[in-house]
Amino acid sequence: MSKRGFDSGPMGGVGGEMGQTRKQRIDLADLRPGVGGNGGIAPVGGINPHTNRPYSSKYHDILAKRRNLPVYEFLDDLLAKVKKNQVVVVEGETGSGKTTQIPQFLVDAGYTRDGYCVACTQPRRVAAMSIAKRVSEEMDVTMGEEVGYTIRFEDCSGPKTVLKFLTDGMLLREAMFDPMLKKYKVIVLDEAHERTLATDVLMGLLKDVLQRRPDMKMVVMSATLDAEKFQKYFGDAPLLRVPGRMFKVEVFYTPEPERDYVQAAIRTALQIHLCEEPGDILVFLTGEEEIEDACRKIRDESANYTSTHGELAVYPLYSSLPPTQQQKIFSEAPGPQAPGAPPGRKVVVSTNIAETSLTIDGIVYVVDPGFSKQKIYNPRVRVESLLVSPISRASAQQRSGRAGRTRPGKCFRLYTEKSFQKDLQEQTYPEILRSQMSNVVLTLLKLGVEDLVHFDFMDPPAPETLARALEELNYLGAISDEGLITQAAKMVLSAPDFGCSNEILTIVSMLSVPQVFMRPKEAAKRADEAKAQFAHVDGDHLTLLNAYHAYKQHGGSKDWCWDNFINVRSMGSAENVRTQLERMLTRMEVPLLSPDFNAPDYYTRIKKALTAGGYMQVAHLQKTGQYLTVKDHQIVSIHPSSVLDMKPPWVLYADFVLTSKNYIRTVTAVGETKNELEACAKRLYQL
Amino acid sequence: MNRFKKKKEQRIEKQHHRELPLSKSPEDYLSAAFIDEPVKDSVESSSRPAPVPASKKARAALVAEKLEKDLKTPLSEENVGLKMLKLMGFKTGLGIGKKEDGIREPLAFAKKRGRAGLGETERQEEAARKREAWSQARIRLIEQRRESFQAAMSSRFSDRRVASNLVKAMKTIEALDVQAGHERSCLWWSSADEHGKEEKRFGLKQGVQESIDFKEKPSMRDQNDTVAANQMPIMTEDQEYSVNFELWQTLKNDEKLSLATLYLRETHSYCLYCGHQYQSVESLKEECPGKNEDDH
Repeated sequence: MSKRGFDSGPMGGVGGEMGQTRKQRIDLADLRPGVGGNGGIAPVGGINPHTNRPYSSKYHDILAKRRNLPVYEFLDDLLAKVKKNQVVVVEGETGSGKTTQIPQFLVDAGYTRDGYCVACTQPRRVAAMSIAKRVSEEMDVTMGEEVGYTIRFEDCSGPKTVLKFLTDGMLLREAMFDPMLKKYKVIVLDEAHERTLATDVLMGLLKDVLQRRPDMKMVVMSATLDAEKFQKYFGDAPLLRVPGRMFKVEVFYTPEPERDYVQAAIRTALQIHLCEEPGDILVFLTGEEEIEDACRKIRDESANYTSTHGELAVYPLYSSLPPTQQQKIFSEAPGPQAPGAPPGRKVVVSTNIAETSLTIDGIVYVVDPGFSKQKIYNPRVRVESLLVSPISRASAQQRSGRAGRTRPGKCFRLYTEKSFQKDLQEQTYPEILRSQMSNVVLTLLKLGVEDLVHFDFMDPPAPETLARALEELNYLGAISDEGLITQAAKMVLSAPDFGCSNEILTIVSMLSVPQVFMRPKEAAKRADEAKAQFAHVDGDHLTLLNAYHAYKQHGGSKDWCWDNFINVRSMGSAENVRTQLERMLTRMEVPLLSPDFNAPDYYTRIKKALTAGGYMQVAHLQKTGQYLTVKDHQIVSIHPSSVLDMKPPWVLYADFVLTSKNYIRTVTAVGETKNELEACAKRLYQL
Repeated sequence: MNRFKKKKEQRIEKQHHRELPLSKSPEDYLSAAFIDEPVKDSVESSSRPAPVPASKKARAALVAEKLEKDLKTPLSEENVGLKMLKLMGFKTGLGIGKKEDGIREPLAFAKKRGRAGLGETERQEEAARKREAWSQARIRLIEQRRESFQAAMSSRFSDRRVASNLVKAMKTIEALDVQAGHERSCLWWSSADEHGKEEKRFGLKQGVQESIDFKEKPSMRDQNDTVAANQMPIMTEDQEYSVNFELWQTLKNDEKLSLATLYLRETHSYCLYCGHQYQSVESLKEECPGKNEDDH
């Protein structure tokens, strides 16, 4: 048995390939649970309809186990409900197997015919990966072929993929380029109760998409008892309740509040070790420092009792811990020191990542001080921070549930029952109320949602939070004063397709600040010479990029800027804007890529990305030697400040300057022919 | 070329203009937009308020105070984002969402300090509140006790004084009456029953009861006073004493005493406080300093 699982029920054993008995087809009936006896279990052998290869013996081993999962009993009910309704809400406790099984049921029921795909979202990358791996084993297919996953930086799926696990943020990004999510027939939103920012935005979007695509289905899966809210939100969608495999957990409260919850947690863990039956302990604390401190103290203290009460193995767990260290939490508890001596015990001191995302088998005792680090954003002071805050009652229930995965357990809450009722709120506030929203707003605008005020949020954010987001985007040059997405923003968002998002980011940042190249009257000639160092033959955008690179190479030196007639303040601002944009893109799961600087197509790629984003701001050379803008047919000239010294047939420009003469400023030569231009732009505008 | 230069200057000027609101604006992003990010542009930091208090503590307090104030200050109506939001149809006072019923205000921003357990801070605050209330109550109680003790002590003292004077007066009346051959009256010490004697001697029970009764039943007192007053004229006019036993019993010690001293003075020319029998009522009036003990 594996020691690890993500809400996926018992893991299968590893079996070798065995001889196969051929069977013509396996149909859905074979996958269904048997009604009495083992009538439904598929005979050994059979052909896997996904691969047209015979099933391996491992498949049958796993299948037998899968059939024992609680969710199996509800297969027919689920499929009937999905057939009749567009949205179905599934409420299943941890251990019901819903995450691994339900997407497979949907595939087997034929929702992926005609080249469609089933998507299943996960709030965490690790979960998306490990579930995809598990499910590909269960379906007896190669990971990345029929079953795959897509997370930031990694797309492990292909044209044959019928079932794809992906982070909710990734699906949101896909929606940016495919607003109708055309390739999916069913979207399964898993762990919806976690109410991540991306899940909430997805729900709002999908509500709209479902209306426009009557053929599309959606399954919302939630762990806790707030299914009603989801049902209501999705127009009274039917509910399917799947019981989990949970043992009873006895809950204890302290008679008085604790003076120091860390001390209390350490004391409680030691007391459990000394007084309670064998079984591992899970202690919840808030952060790395606290956890390491507690681990040290527990280790020191328990060393005194090793001979009398057995060894206590202590493992920390938090997200910044290296994966190899994290793996240690799955190791077996230490055995008895000597024959006949008491067996050892394992204690894991963890942040709330052990609350939902990670399941450690063998936990019988849970120590819950009632705190976790939570993100909170206040638009008035523009600060997003992680603060230690009381958990919610739902969280407390979830934590105590961790003690009942393998056998009846105990949960020690380090607060009074009165505190539980009075000091804890019912549910944790959804992330959307606790986050800054610039990236979400940009995503929505990119998706064509122009009225953010009346967007159907399940829990609408505070008006000031949205106002700040708009203000920030406006400042960063991503949206206009009218709240419309700018050319620069579009350019950045499509840049990853050309593998040069880093470069586009730099150019956009440089465009957002006041004049970078200074040209004092008395030193005009020297200034022009200085600028010539950075000049790129194709134009001003690339010149700006070169200037930024040179600036970074000189460590942002003021003297260097001074010597080269570069506005140091503008550069500082550009750097700042760049950092903020970069952070926003990271949040939006937009990959940050750079082409090889020495590759021949380095500048070509950048130019293509620029064109794709700025298609509307293109001008074409006329016979008169002047240019005609594509958008509003104005006769313009290239501004004298441009580094371009010839007249290319097509140019891209950043500004339109109206003086005595019409000028276009910050100009770069793009594609030689119109066709070439259109080919670039098509990628963005094909929708 | 000349013309071009001119334009270029104009442009630079214009850009200067563009720069200003960017850096001086109160909503400037470069200053505090992301607190974990050092501010690169030196101009931004110098535009911030200069006075910095000397001590670390005072600085921290100032920062905390500012934060507190900022958290309570909604975005200005002039905010670019808010204006855009209004363009999208946002109405001040309403929320976001399909039904415009989202939260109106951002979530509160409570910072937890230290490692106090859940409910501990509240418990400590509650305990501090209780301690404060208790100590207040205690101070009040002690003061009250002191006052009432003093009052009780002084009244007890005077009650005893009255009682002992009364006993003395009644004994003197009895002796003088016997000497003068008067009939036995309720003023005689020997007439008082055992129970009455006890009470009279110490006057404690009666005194304490009275101090309570006084407040509760002022009308009773008034009644008693009028009863006593009605009897008085008989004594002074006719020198006769129709004070009977029942009436005597209803009187209080001080009333009894004033009656007894009056009787002694009028009948026997005797002043209890001088301890002397004068020749006549006239000489008593001349020589005795007064009717009351305090006069002596």
